[in-house]
Amino acid sequence: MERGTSGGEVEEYVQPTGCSVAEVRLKNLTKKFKDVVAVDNISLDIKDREFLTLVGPSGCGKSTTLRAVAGLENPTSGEILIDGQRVNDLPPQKRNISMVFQSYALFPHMSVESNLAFGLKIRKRGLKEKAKKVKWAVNLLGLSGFEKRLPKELSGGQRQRVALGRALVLEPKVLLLDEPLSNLDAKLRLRMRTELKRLHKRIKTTIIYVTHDQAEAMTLSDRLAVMKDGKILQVGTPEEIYEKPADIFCAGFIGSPPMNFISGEKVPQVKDENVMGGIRAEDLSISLTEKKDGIFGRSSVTETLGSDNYLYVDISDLLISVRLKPEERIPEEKPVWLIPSREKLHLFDKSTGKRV
Amino acid sequence: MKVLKFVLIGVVLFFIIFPLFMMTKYSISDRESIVTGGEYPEPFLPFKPTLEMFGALWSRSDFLKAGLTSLWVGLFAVAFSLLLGAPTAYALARFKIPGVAILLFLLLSVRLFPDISAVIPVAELLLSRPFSLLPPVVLVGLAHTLLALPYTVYIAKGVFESIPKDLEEQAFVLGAAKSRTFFKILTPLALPGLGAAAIYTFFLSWNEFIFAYFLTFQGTETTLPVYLLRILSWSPQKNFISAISLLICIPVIIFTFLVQRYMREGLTAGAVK
Repeated sequence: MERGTSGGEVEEYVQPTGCSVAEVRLKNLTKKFKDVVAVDNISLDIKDREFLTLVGPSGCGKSTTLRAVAGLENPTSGEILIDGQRVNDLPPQKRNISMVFQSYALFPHMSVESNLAFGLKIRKRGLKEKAKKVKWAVNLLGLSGFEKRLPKELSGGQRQRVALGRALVLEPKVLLLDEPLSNLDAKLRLRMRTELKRLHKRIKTTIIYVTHDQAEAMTLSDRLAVMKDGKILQVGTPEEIYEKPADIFCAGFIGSPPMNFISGEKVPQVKDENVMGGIRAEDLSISLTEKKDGIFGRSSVTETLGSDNYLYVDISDLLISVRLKPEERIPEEKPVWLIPSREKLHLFDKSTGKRV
Repeated sequence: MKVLKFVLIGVVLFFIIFPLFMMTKYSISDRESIVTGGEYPEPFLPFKPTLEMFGALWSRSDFLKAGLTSLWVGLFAVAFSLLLGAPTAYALARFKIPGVAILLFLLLSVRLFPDISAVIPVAELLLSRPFSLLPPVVLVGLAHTLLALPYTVYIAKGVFESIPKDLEEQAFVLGAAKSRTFFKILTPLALPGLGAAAIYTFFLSWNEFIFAYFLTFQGTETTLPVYLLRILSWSPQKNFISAISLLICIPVIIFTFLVQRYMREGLTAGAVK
């Protein structure tokens, strides 16, 4: 039986002295690998104690950005400022950051305790302080009883927590997390997601989090930055991005199921072939009788998720998802009319992809 | 299938055990059990088992001296080849070096030449100044390093490649300097693999004859294989030769046993993922 992740008495986290503000600013950051531009001139302000997520498909430059903040990659151009100080030329340990790798990167020949104390040992902290901090992390992360174990004797979730604890004991101004949940199985991932959010509330550290999973990004972040092809497309709170996506990519990437896109001329309320209409599954209502502002289609299959049911509707060559009301049942292979809610209809310029 | 398996195991075991049995048997044989003069067949077991040959060897200072020389040469070769080979392998494993495949091929191709064609230039080099000023133990150790180094680099390269780069970067982020990362993280994780390289080098050095012979045939200080040749030139009895052979096995067994303790399998398990 795995232990709870935050049981036991935990001392209040003491904010490191002289670091009331831990902002991270990226100014025109660019990173090239030979001819490949991984990060393309991005600027981003991350506020003190904010949980900011860089989210995007693989190869969008989010991990490279994080590694640049960590000091593992040298930016080709641009500046990185932590707490107002330019850190471009500082090695990782002078930047007051900690990083948790996707792979956890636990030192396999060291016990949980030694892994946790590794950074403190380098900083030549006293034995007493070291023991106290390690104990704090062990309690915080529900690892008590496992102190003497080797990483290979731990479960995936425990390894993940050790990696997190090893970063936290250093009381970093900024905690960098590179897809920390992606190696866990689905159930554990959901639980650790909640734990991570609770943890952020308690430790009050600035966190930069990288993920390709939009659900993780939405649930964890104070704000998120959607990235694609090395560029930041939109920065905002999860609600802002969900409700007012800046372009077609953000609209399609954030939210599940993805937003439906219907060419403008097919939407009665729009009737403009230069724009693309976007509408989320929950903003469509469905009718079995003809409606003049409705979009005609044929009902296909229904996906039942328990709380939500989604009906898929064929509109010429498109498959449109519609969220049904819990009690609503639509027979398959029937003509239906979809009515988009006018105020929830997003319009994007077809040539630029930008919101209009 | 099962029967065939046991038969095969039996055959293999016979080929391994029979020579060891003969060696052991002769080493403890009394004179009558070996020198039969054709009057009676050699007994399966000696008439009167005796340890007198071992006693005789123990009191021979030249045998012990040769053994000690071999030991030192072996340890030198292990130390040299690891000190040179491990950093080389690390560099080859971690850094993008243009033409690395060619480099590795050239490295191994050194060993494609028969030793006998390499021994003259090597001996010539090592026996002239400034090398000739070094003690013979170091000279032979260097020659054996030359032989073992390509393999050591190959083995160690595989070892370093198996250690995830994330571990180094993590140590770096946590504030560890390059040296600490190397000694506290990489070395402990590489030890099992480097142990294999060490055992290989020690075996090679312990067995090696040609280079040791060319480099030491003039002097009094020589390794066991060369010493064995000198003994053989006196046409000694079977029991004497067998006792020497048996004794020569022992340090190899001890060395392997010692090093194997570092070779715990799956040490990197639990590091990543």
